[in-house]
Amino acid sequence: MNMSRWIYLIPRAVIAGLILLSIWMGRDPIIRSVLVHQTQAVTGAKADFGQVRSALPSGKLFLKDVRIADPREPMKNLLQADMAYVQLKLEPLLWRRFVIESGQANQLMFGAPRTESGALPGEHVFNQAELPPERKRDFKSELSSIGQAWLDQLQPIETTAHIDSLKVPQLLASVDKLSIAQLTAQLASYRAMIAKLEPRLEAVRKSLSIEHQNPLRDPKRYAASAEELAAVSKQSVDLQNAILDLQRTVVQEKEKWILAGQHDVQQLDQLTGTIPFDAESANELLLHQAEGELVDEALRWFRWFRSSIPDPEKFKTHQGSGIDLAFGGATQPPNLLIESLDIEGEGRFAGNHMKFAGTVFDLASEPRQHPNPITIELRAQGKQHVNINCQLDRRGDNAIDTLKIQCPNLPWNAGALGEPNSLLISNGPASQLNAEMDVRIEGEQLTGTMTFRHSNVALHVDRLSDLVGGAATALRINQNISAINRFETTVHLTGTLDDCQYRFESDLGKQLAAAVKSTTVSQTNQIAKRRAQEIEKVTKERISKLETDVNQVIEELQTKLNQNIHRTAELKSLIETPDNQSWPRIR
Amino acid sequence: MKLWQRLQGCVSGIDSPGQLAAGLTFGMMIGFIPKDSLIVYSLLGVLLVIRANLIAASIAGLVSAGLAGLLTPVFHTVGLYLLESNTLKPLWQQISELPLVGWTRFNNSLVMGSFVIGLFSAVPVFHVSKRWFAAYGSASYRRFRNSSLICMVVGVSKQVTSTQTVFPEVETAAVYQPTTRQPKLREG
Repeated sequence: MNMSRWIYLIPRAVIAGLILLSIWMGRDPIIRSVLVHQTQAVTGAKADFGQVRSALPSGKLFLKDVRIADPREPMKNLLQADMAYVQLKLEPLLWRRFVIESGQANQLMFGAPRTESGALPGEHVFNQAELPPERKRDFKSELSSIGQAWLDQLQPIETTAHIDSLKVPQLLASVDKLSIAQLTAQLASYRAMIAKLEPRLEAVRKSLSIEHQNPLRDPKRYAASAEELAAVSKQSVDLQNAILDLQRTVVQEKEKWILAGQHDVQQLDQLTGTIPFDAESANELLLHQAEGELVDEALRWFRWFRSSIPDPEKFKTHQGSGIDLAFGGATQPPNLLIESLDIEGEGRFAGNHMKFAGTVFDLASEPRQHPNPITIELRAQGKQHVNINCQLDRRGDNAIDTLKIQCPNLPWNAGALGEPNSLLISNGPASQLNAEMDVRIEGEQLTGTMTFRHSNVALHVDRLSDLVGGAATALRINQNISAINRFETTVHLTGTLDDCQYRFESDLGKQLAAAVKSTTVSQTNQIAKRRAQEIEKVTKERISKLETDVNQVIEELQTKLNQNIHRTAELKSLIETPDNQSWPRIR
Repeated sequence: MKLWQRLQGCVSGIDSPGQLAAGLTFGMMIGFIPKDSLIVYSLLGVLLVIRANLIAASIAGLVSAGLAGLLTPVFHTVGLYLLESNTLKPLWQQISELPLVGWTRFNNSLVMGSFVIGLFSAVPVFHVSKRWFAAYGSASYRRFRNSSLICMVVGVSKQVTSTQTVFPEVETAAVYQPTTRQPKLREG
């Protein structure tokens, strides 16, 4: 064998050896470069790894100064960590799949500012108009309109308006038109008229007596008796009709008084029952900012969790680096999968700075190709205990994301509740908050509830609008408001993450309304109640007077008239059917 | 020192038109394909094993890497067409299931396009360049090889190389009759 033919291979082997040696020596920068490339391909923004140290045979990687830019906001980091350690599974590397079996990231920070833009050259940079609006709501300006609305709904309920609309006083004012005295006088005249009828009937009766029974003896007198009887009868009927009319008037009058009395009592009941302090609107006014900010903060976390997931479709690499096609379909495992990564860092929640630790499970670059949803579990350490569990399920056509937060003992430094131009209530510093949140987003539709249990509260009305009594009323409310020690609020969420609607359901408004009821409106209530009693009394008196003074007389007169009519009828029948047998016989 | 000189001689001794053309072809392919693909390093390995001229490969690699930037849309279109072809999809699917294939990034439109274009252009490029080297290239190559810079880097002294032995006519024509074109080639 001619060795000289292959001798050229020796320097080439040396070259290859040197290349491999330099690769081995420089494996860390090469891995760093691969990591940068892969991360940038997944996130669509710059990724920096300050230092990478590897132990390839065992699949261990140590990363220092990890900075991954936010593709939406290139001047911010999506996340940064001072140090990270990951344990790679070696077998999937043969298929160019990076599976991080376990790992740890320390001093993790989210949204830290960058000194230079994190946008990749040629990569689409989102401008502010394209990005969903950062929904930091201006609760203060919203509060002023809520406060105004609260005052507006108070204004229609005015004691004077209610009392002015009472009907019984109006009846009392117009009672001259039909006074009981007038009725009595009328009845007296009727009585006199009836009394005059009786002698006339007696006279007729006498003229028709036995001794004068024979009409032939005095035919003229018999005819006169018949005429008199007819006249008496007509007068009796007229009187009876007049009395009946009077009776009808009395019944109408009585009904009018009864109805007026009922109306007024109801009106005054409304005044005493409907306190000018609607619990619902009071809840909205008092809790809108304090708890709305907590809700908003939780939703911001949710938004952050959602936006932190790699979205290969959204941040598709441009033509300059080609397009990667997957041929394994849904069964192909994702290119990058973090099975478990322990994280530890700092953040803010509910206005409190807190250190947190947690674990991220099943974070995949192609979530659809992984059987488990992405799960983020965080626990705040230190004074506050906050447990956050976020699950981001992107396996189906519709994204289903859930966020559960539990804060068993969170100091509540909400400061003042409400709004200074309507109602402002301050809270004591020792109050505690137990919060539970359960929010779900399916597609874009957000639903969920957040329950806040406040305990050890010490409320004090600092300011109250003059429209509802001002400082004097506030002083009276403060005497009773101290009884409120705890309250619970449930916030119902609807809409979308970017346009979320809150509905507050709390017992604070009811408790406050009860306190206000016993103080602020007690005076009004007393007036109204007194008035109601007066009206009831007047109405009863009026009706009883009508009963006794008028109806009794009417009944008496009617009895007498009936007797007269009865007698008239008897006499009439006597005239019409004369007793022929008692007449003297004509011989 | 003796060994080093021998090594230098071995490296610099591969300069026949075929070896130059082979180096150029491999260099072109390597230059076209994105460097994060295992294909590049496989081709590099082959290049080191075969008797191809490394200087030609290096120069061709640099030039074609520059050209690749301009040809990116073509690579992308061709690669995407092939990858999305329904006929070839089962093949890609089978290939993708093989270990290490993932590192070639064959599923990337640019890698696929540049590799296929490089592969198809390799044969004509090899033949054309071989003829060209046979006609004009050896003298140019020798001048280039004998330049001070290459002598300093590769350490080759200004000496007669194997080309002279293989193509004496070419040598004569190129050196002594620079204006005379189309010398008769003698294969082998």
